[in-house]
This record gives sequence, structure tokens and C-alpha cells, in this order.
Amino acid sequence: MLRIAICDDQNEFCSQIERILLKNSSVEITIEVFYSGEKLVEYLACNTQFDLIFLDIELGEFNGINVGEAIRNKLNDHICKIVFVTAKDGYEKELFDLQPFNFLRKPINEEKLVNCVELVAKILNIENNLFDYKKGHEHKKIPIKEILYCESVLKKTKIVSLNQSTGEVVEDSFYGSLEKIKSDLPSTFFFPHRSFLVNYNNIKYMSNEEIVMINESVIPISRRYLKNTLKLQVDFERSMGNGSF
Amino acid sequence: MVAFEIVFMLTSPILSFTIYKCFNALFNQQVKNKKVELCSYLLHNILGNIVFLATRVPMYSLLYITITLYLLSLNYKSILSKRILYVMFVYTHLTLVDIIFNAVFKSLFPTGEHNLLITLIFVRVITLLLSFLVHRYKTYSSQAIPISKSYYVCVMLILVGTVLLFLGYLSEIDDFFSILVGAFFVIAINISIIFLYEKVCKSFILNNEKILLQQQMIAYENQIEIINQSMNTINSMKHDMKNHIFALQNIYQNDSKNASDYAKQIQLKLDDNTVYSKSSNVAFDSIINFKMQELNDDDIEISVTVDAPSELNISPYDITVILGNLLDNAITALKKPHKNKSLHLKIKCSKGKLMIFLDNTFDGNLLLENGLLKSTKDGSNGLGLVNITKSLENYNGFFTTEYIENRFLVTVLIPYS
Repeated sequence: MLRIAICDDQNEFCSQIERILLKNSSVEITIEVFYSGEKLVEYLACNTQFDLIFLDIELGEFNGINVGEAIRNKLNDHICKIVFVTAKDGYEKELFDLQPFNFLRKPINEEKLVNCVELVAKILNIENNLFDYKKGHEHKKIPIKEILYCESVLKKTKIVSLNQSTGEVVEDSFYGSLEKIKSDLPSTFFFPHRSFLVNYNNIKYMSNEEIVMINESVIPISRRYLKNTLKLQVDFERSMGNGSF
Repeated sequence: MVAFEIVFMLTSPILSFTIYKCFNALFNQQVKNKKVELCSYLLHNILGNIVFLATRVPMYSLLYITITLYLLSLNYKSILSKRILYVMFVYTHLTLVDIIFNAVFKSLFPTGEHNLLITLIFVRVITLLLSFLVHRYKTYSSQAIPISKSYYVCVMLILVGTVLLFLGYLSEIDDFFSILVGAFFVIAINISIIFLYEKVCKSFILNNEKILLQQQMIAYENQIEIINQSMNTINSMKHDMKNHIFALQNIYQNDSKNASDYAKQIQLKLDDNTVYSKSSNVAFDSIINFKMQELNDDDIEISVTVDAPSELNISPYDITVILGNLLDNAITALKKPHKNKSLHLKIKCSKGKLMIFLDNTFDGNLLLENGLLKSTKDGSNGLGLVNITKSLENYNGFFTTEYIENRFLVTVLIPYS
């Protein structure tokens, strides 16, 4: 079940998206509609998170950028996917700091909209899976999408994750090699450094020297792994496109 | 001893100027007030001479220098820690040269008044030269000037050479006046060499700017051509619209049902004549829309998506070079006959990187030489890829090309901030 929010001050536009999705989507979805950014943020503050939010940029005073910043920085939800919707031509630079999943232009292209939802469903289908590990005699499980990175410390592995509903960073460690863990995780996990295994989807910013995760932790990229890291980035981004790529 | 005092006073402006040069270089010319700065250095010079003449105690002179250095540094905008660091730097620079030369001359000429005089002159000249070097290093290290290292070596050779020659001259000649004249010329030669060197640097920078301007001119010419082309398109659309409205009027008078069909047709046609890129990023929009006009072929499947900020810290010139060359190659390939022609361009920004994905079909004939792509046009040009690489170097970006059957895929990745 994919939880979707639509946030736009134009009623007819919200119902248009809702109609298209309910008619065409091949995945199971629930949709909540919000006519202002404030309402969406209020709802998110006291309810469970959405998987995907269609967020209009021109929402009035409290615009799409403000709403996005509130979701990412105040509510600390870096995991839900935001698709920005706009009737204008250009995009402001700030939008790109909010880890947008995609952009849609009004009038809505049905195919692009449906593709977008299906792609999120596909990604979450993998990411909603749980990663289980053994700590002592205890079996533990965490959702894959919440894992930020794994770090090898001596013979142990430190696993760092971000709880989507509380926004807290959780650390745990257990015995196990990174290589073995990588084989249990989807291909979005990669090595930028010999002792770090990073979840690409939870990266905020990447330079040629380091990676900044969504919780602001910094992970070094070693020279030896740089070429491979760049290649992986290109491959991931290419595959994230709709249809044609 | 009067000679020493005279020389001290005559050369004391050199000391003030040395401090001035050093501070200006270190504080990046962040002067609070130019006039106050000038007055403070003059005052420093005059007071310095008075302190020297009145007390003749080296301890006081040292104290004077330390205090005034800090006071002089207040002329510049900076934080306290940096200020102290720079004052210390200049202070050690001045005293080190002093100590070293005093020691050297003491061992060379064990006694005599000349020894003190000569040391003084040398210390002044050497500190001045070093301050010029600091200045030159600080000012130009931030700008990339294509001045070859050999020029630098030449200048250094002259500077060191004159000092050595003067040393030799000293051991031969004992007459005070001749030494003074010699010292004057050593100072004059060195200062003029440094002056010339700075002029050469400046002319290099100017020359560089000229080349850049020329490239910009070419870019602007391109832009004008783009504007011209779009004007032509608009004009021809206007002309078409006139005809359509005329036709509509006619049809409407006779048969109103067909009129609505006709209107729909026009609408379709207008939609069909879409602008490919509407990102509000002028550089992307103009080069993409300009180049894509060449592809007015109906049987090419085209998709263009540009999800990039309207403002980027990548220069429009470089964007034009990169995209222009890539699209030129794609268009050349698409003009050759082959089946299922398509071109997909996607530009996106994610995680601090601008990415360009271009995917087009081609007729399957590629020329490879040592694993490098060669243009099929004449086999010599590297498809403008050299220019792309040059532009990408400025941003630490990279690009890859690959081909799968008859599809050619290019990916460009540029870090932006």
C-alpha cells in the first residue's frame, strides 16, 4: 500500500491527480488531499508519514519550498519522496536541496504521473523490506529505507539508521563483515570507502571527496573508490528517470 | 658615525614600504581607509627615526617595531587571530633577515664602520625583495596565470646575482662613496626588475582576459543567431495564424461544425510546435531549442526534460560548449538514414551534481582509434569532445560515452554548489 499526499490550493487540480491515479495506477494506493501547506505540515506532525507527496510549488505565502523545508528540516522526514508540481517554467535553486524525487509540470502529463507513482512503488517495494541481523542471541530487524550507512569498526559493524516517524538517528553494532551485509542489501548500497557501505537513497550531497548523508553525517570517498562511486551515481540517476531512461 | 645615521634615515622609507607591501599582501588589500593608511606609514617612518636618533638603544627600536607593527595592522579589516599571526610573520621576517645578515657580515668583515653600513643596506634591500615575493605570491596565487616557471627562475637569478656581484664588489673596493653608489644601483636594479616582472604578470592577465572576451563574443554571436531563428519561427507562425483565422472565418460562415474541427486542428498544430526546453535557465533553453530546431523530422521520437535550477554556478559559455557539441554530434548521427530514430535528453540535478543524459540512435558506423571515438566526418576531429573535456575540467566534471547496438549514450556529470 502506497501512501500518497496531494497538496495544492487548486481543488480541481487535486481531484485531477487523484482521478488519474485511481484510474490508472497498477499499484495499491491511498490518497490524502490537502489544500494548503500548513494543513499538510500539521497533519504530518501528528500522523504517520507518507511515502510520496505531490507538492505544488506556488501554494501562496507558505509555498512549496517552505513546506518542503518543514518536512525535511523541522519534521526531520528525509525519507518520504517529494514530487514538486508547478505551472511555472523555471525551478528555484533551493528546491534541489530538498532531495526532490521528480518534477511535474502543469498541465499534468498522465503517463509521467503514473510512471512516477509506479517507480516509487518499485523502489519502496525493495526498500520497505526489512534487513535482519543477529546481535548476540537476539534477532533484530530494521526497514532498509531507514538505513543510512554501515561502518566497519574493528571486527564489528556499526549500522546507522534514521527512524522515519521519530526522525531520530539510531546506532547499533553487531559482528559481521560489510561484504556479507552488502550481499543481503539491494544494489542502492555501495562502497565509497573500504570501511563504509552507504545507502545511495539517503545521501543529501556528494562531492568528489565526501558524502553528506541526510542526517548531516559525513562519509569520506577514498581515491580508489571514486571512479566506481561516480559510475554508480550515474547509473542510479539514469535508472531513476521515467520510462525513456 | 654620522654616515650610519644618514644612511639609516635615508633607507628608513624602505622599511616602512616593506611593511606596507607585506601587510597589503597578507590582508588581501582589505584597507579600511587609504588616507589613514598612508598617514600611519608616514608617521611610523618619522617616529621610527626619532626613536632611533633619540635613544640609540636597540631594545627600544625592537619594542617600537613590535608595537607599531600591531598598530599598523589595525589599518586592515581582519580577525584578531589572523592579525596577530600576520604581525608575527612580518616581525620574524624583518628580524630574521637582520640577524642572518648581521652574522654573515660580521664573519666577512670582522671590524669597521663599513660593515654596519653595508649590513643595513643589505637588510633593507633583502627585506624589501622578500616582501615583494610575498606580495606577488599572495596576489597571483589565487589567479591562474599562464606564466611559465622559467620566467620566475630568471627573475630570481637576477635578484640573487646582483646581490652576489655586489658582495664581490665590496671586497675589492674600500671607498665609502663608491660603496654607496654601488648599493644604490643594486637597489635600483632590483626594484626595476620586480617592477618589470609585475608588469609582465599584468600583461599576461590582460592577454588572458582578451582571449576570454573573444570566446564570449563568439558565444554572443551564437545567442544572436538563436534569437534570429526564434524570431523567424514566430514570424512564420504569425503568418500561418493569419491564414488560419482567414480560413476559419470562411468556414464559420458556411459550416459551423467544421469550424470547430478546424480550430482543434490548429490547436494540435500549435501544441506540436512545442518549445523543447522551458527551464528558465537561459543557457540550457537557448542552446537546446536552437539545436533541436534542426531536427524537424517527423519520424524522430524526441523527448527533452530539463529539471535544473534557473541559476547555476556553471557559466553559460561552458554549458553552451558542452551541450552544443553533444547535440551537434547527436543531430549529425540522426541525419544519417537508419530505422527507429530517437533522441532523449534529460538534464537533472541531484545530490550536488548536474547530470546530462543524452541518448540517440545512429546508423551503427563508428570510427574508433585506440579506443577513442573519431568523427566519421573526416576521421580527424575528436567530435568536439576535446572542447567538452576542456570545459568540464573547470568544474571537476567528467563525461562518458558508450554505445549499445545502434544507440549512443552520453552522460555528463558536473558538481555544482
